[in-house]
Amino acid sequence: MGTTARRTDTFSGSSGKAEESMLESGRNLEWIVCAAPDDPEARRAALGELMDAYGRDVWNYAFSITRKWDMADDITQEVFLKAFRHLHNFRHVASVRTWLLTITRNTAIDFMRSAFLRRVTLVDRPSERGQLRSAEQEVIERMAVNETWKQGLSLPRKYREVLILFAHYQLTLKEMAEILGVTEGTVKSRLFHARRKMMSLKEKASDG
Amino acid sequence: MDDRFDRELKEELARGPLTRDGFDERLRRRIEERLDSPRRGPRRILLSAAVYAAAGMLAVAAVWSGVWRFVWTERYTADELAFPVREQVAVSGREYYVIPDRQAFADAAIRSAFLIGLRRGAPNPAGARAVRGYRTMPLPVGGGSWCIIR
Repeated sequence: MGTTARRTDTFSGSSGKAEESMLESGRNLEWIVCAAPDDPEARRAALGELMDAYGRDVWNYAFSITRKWDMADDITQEVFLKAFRHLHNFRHVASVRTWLLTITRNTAIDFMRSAFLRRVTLVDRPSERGQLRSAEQEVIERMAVNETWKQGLSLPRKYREVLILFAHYQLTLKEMAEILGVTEGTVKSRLFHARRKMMSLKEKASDG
Repeated sequence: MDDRFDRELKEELARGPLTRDGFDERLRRRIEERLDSPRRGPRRILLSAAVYAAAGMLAVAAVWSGVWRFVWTERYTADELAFPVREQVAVSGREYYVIPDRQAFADAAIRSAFLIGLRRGAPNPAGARAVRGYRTMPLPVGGGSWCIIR
C-alpha cells in the first residue's frame, strides 16, 4: 500500500514536491484499486490517499464555483463519497485530479440547481434586494488571500471557472475542456475574456 | 495579453482562495463517517416506490374484491343495511343473536370478523344539530352466526 505523506504545504495545486506527491498518490490509488477492488479496507485506504492529495483542490474548486462555504463542504463530501463508490470506474485516460475536478464541477452544478429550485419553490415572496452584502461576499471580503482572488471570485461563473482552472490549478487546455465539457476553442475564448475582465478590474483598483 | 500578466495571475492565484483551509480534519472525519451509512440511490428509491405502489394496489384490490364478494354473495343491498337492525332481521329472515354488551362480545369465541358500520342521520327540527344513530355489525368469517353489538 502506498505511503503518500499528508500534504502540509499551503500551496494547493502548486508544482514541485506537492505535484510529485499527487502523481505518486495517483499511482498508489491505481495499485490499490487494481489489487483489491472488493476489499473495503483497501478502498478506504485509497480514499484516504485521495483526500490527502486532493482534498484541498476539491474544496477550493467547489468554493470557487459556489462561493459558499457550507455548500463547498457538502460538495466535497459528496465528491469523495462518489469517488469511493466509483473507484473501479476510474479510467486511466484522465489524471486522478482531472477526474475528481470533473466530479466536483458536476456535483456543484447539481447542488446549485437544487438550491435554486428550493429557493424558487419554497419562498413565496421574493425578498427585497438592498445594499447589504451577502454572507458569501462577507466571507470573501474577510478571508480572501489577496485582491486578485477577490477579483477572480467576482467574475461571472464561466469566466471565473476557466481562470481558476488555468491560474490556480494550472491545467492544460485539453484538461480544462474535459472538465468544463466544452471544446478547447471555447476554453481559449473564455480565457481571453476572463483575462480582459481581470485586467479591467485591476486597472479600476489601481485607479482607486 | 502578455505572458507577464499570466505569470502574475498564476503567482497570485497559486494559493487557495481563502486564508483558512476549507478542507480540514472536521470535514475529513465527516466524510469517513458517511462511508458507513447506507446509501439510498435513485434506483433503490424508485424500486421502493414501485414495490410500495404494487403492494398498495394489491391491498386495495384484495379489500375491494373481499367487500364485493361478501356483499353480493350475502345479497344485502345498501338499503337493507341502512335499516335498523331489528328490521333487518325481519327482512332477511335469517337467524341472528344479539350480544348485549362489549364484554360479552369479547368473551365470545369469534376471532375474526368483517365489521360494518351503519350511520343514520335525520334533520332535528328542535335544534341545529342533526340526529344521528350509529350501529356496528361485526360479521364473523367462516360461517358463524351474525351478531350485533349495541
